[in-house]
Amino acid sequence: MVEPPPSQVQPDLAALYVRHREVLWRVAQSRLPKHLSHRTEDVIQDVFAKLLEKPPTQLINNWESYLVTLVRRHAITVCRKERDDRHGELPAEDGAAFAVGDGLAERAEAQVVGQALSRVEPRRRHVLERVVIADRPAKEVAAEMGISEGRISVLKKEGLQQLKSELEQQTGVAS
Amino acid sequence: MSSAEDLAVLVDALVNDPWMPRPESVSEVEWAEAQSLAEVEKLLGAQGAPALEHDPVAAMLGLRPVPALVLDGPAMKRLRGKLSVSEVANRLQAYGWEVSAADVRSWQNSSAAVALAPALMERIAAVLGSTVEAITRETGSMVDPAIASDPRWESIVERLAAVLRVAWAQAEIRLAGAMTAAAYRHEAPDSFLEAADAYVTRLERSREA
Repeated sequence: MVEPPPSQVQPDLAALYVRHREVLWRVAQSRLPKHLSHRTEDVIQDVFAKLLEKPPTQLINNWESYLVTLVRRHAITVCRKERDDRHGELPAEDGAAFAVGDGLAERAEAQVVGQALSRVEPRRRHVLERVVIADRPAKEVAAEMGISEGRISVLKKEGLQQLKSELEQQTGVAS
Repeated sequence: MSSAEDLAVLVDALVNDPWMPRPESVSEVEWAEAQSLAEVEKLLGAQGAPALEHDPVAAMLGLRPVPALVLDGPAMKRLRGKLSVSEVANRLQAYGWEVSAADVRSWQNSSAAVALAPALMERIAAVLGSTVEAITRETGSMVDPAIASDPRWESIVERLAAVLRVAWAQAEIRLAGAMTAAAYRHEAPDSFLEAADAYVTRLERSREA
């Protein structure tokens, strides 16, 4: 059997999925609002079901970027459908909200986020780990730390600002 | 907007509802800042992919091994012919699989039953110019014989084959892999078939989404 040269081989979707699934799930989750997080699986499954049905005909140079774009777009479609169902159709420019930070989620794999988070000032990191990652109530974390809920909000905001800056430095995304 | 606390409240609101309109009291600069912080918060809160054995997309793509279907090492070695283990590994790598020559050697020499992902076994078979049937052996039934002989099973597998664009036999392996989840293991045939039907229906909808 004559094998095509590696540069002309279309990789198996399953192999691509194993390699990129962490970042794809993260991108989908980060694009969906909290109340739609249960749709993450649907977003990724839809993308791959369509790829199975209609694989790209051209050679893809950067599969991660290609898959991330598909997942991001589909997540936005799911969001828009939900938004339209909830609020009625809104003007097209409303989609601007989704453009903010483009490029950040795509490059911020789990490891990168973890590294960036480790450089956040300890008190702010403590708040981010408990309130954002563990999704614990701010009131509970405030009581544990002996500070007000308002102070938790401020530490969280400062932590997010510092994390954003760290991520931008790490991933080369301009602020 | 008057304080850092207000900004934090706005970020929380945006995380929950990215379509909320900009409040009049918030400037465009503050709005952009809140949106980008909401994005960072969602990124940080994202959990990543589930474990492979609980990942439904992995099951759809044929990444969930079927315990009863294992590689036949000697058959693989025979079918490899003049191809070296490195060449086999290189060809698998070209299709995106992270496989080393040592992996290939271990599969063909292992005395233990090696159950690989069906999608990988399909590619190995293709690389060797052979079929999955020729490089594998069944150590038991992939599914309960009562289910396998039910005409509904045949029809469900046929629908899955159409969705995945694979042969019926490959689709059966994929479906058996998807249905190895603990939730289905002890189901009675009727419930198992209903679950398999629901699984395939969902994939059909995904394709149309």
